[in-house]
Amino acid sequence: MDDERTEELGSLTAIFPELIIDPTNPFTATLELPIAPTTPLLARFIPASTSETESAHVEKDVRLTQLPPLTLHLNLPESYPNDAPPKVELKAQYDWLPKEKLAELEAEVASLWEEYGHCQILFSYIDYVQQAAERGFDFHQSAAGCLVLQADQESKLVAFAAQKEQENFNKGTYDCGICLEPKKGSACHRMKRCGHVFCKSCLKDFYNNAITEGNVTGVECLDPDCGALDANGRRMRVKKHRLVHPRELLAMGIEEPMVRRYVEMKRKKKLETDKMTVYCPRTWCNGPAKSKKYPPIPADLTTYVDNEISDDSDDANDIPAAPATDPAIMKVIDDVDRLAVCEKCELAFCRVCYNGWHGHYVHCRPRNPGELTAEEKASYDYIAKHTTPCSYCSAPSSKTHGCNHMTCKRCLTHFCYLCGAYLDGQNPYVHFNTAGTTCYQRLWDFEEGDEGQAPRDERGLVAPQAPEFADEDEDDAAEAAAARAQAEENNRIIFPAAPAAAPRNDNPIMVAMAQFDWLAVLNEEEEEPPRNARERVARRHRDRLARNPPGRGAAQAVRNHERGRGGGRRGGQAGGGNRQELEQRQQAELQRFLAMAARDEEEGWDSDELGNDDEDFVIPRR
Amino acid sequence: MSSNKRLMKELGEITASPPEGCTITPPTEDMFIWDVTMEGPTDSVYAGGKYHIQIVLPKEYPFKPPVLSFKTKIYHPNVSNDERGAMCLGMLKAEEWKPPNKISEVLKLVRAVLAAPQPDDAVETGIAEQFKNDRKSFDKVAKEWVGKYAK
Repeated sequence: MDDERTEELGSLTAIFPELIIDPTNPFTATLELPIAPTTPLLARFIPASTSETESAHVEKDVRLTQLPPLTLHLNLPESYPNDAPPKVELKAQYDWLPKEKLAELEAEVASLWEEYGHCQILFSYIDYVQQAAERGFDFHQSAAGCLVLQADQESKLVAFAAQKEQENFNKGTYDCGICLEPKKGSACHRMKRCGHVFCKSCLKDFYNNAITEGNVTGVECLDPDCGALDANGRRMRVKKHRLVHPRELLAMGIEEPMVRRYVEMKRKKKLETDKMTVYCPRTWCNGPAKSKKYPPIPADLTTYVDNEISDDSDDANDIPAAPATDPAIMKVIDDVDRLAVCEKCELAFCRVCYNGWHGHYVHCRPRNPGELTAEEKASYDYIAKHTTPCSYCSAPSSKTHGCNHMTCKRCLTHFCYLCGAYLDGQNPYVHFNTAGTTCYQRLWDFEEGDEGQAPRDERGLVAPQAPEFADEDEDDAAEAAAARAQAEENNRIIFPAAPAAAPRNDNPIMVAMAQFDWLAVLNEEEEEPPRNARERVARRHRDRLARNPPGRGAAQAVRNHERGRGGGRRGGQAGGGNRQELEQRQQAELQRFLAMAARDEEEGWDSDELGNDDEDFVIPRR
Repeated sequence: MSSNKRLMKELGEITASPPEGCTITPPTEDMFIWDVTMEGPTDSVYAGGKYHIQIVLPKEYPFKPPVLSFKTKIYHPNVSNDERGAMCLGMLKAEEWKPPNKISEVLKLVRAVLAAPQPDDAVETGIAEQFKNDRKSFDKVAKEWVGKYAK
């Protein structure tokens, strides 16, 4: 008599031809069950919670239509079906199904056997597992609301799903809407974003043609309604252009050079429409500046990050960027990063004044005044008229009260508020105590600030109430007394009259509105350390000395000057006697020289001259 | 792709089941020039008119749109009032044309536009103005032209 078990396995093989009966044990069988939930299974991938990856703790939700199969091992004991349930063991490929779930499914066989009254239940059980699989094992009803897995399983499962989907797709037949012929799935391509299907050969022909002709916007899905209908299915007046990712073009078999041409054209187009793009000032180059927004095209096009494509709300790209004259943007440019580097010729230049890069410390204004709004222009003009720029960093400063010895709030440089001359921090008052110079005995001019006072000289200095960019120097009595003492000494030394400094009004220059955060600059690694900056100052002075040999002892004065800037401002006031007198004289000489040198620079400066190493160390005056 | 193959297929389909009111004369020498006779839609001012429309298919067809011209004069805001009788509408624009569009669909669109002119997309702005503001006069002239040219 036939064993009931053999009979049951026999009929099971008829239903599931893929059932494998163990050749060594006729009552043991294996069946692989494909898993394709009717609604895609939501899987959440959680990164392993090691302390190192804590920072990159990003959960990722993926919907899977196909999952790796379950393997069902059946073992029918001798007493089955009358006295014992079948033994079952379930195993998921890649172990994607949690152990608890597998145990739950395995336990069900006993209760089914019980429920059916101890009869043959193999088919019912398999059907039960299959139905559970179609429901996605009810993970949507679990506490997490989805299948929760480790992040390292993501790639395997996603790849499996993609492969299965592709296999299923390849098995189908599709009518290509372009050549109007039915094609095998393997010869077709399904558009990633919208799912429209065309044959690869038509797609390749069309896209190759479009790319060759430079029709970048044509590289989109070819379905007439794709992107043309709104959420309610109505035809929109303006159609969305959703361009195909280069990866997809490569996948449908378009040659790499053609895809590269597409990516390059697309990037160029975006760069050109972006109002924020700045171009290299070298007339023979005119390349765009490097930008984080449009990263260079990688050697491997599949890794190309296309913000337009990854972003579903890509119409944002069609909105033209606000013009660069927008005050907010101008401010950003000023505050953040004016350094631009040309993509083509690697020239480093300033994106505001378009000169060769002048460092972060220099204030500049846009090369083209037409780019300014009336309000900005008024601000610039006001600053030009009513402030004195720092002699080093050209930060504009205005005095509210106190003496004319100023210390720049930004770079701590000492300078004269009246003529803008560079002052030695160690002994700044010599400038006001040198007979014959324009600022002689004018330390206390406009002591109350110049608000409301009539201009006293041809410079017409009328200080505004705001903006207050620099601190006026301490006006404590001790300092003033020291200054007066020095004045007496200096009076004994007669200098030939120095030419007056150039009127500032005619040079509305080297000023900018935004105040630079000096400390922030210092803290930035790539920035020049302040020590370097000082060395550059020193070098600049030496350059001037070399070109225009100063009077006796000037070199010594420069050295003193450097020492003075390094140390305390008041340190130098100690000591005295002949040595101090000598030093003072040397410094006075230096001041006079600097005033002249400054004038020379003004004449010699050419704003269009770029990349000249020497000019780099000169405050641009235009 | 071979546009010839697709053209043959389309021609087969369109002669087997031509769009309403259209008769397609099979091209003899040049596969890329099709002649169509379209009857004016019955509920429009063009009722009773017979229009000869020539469809010129570009070599790149279906990657490029076909070019339509009315060989019969028609008083219509969307058809140029010259010997070209050009019609440039919606899907026929180069940037809006999609290869899956077919000539039968184009003809259906043309007929829909005959029934309902689109003055906002007009090539003849004068006619469009009249259509919008003085519908009576427009209807009168259009009907006159049917009698004069399209019988």
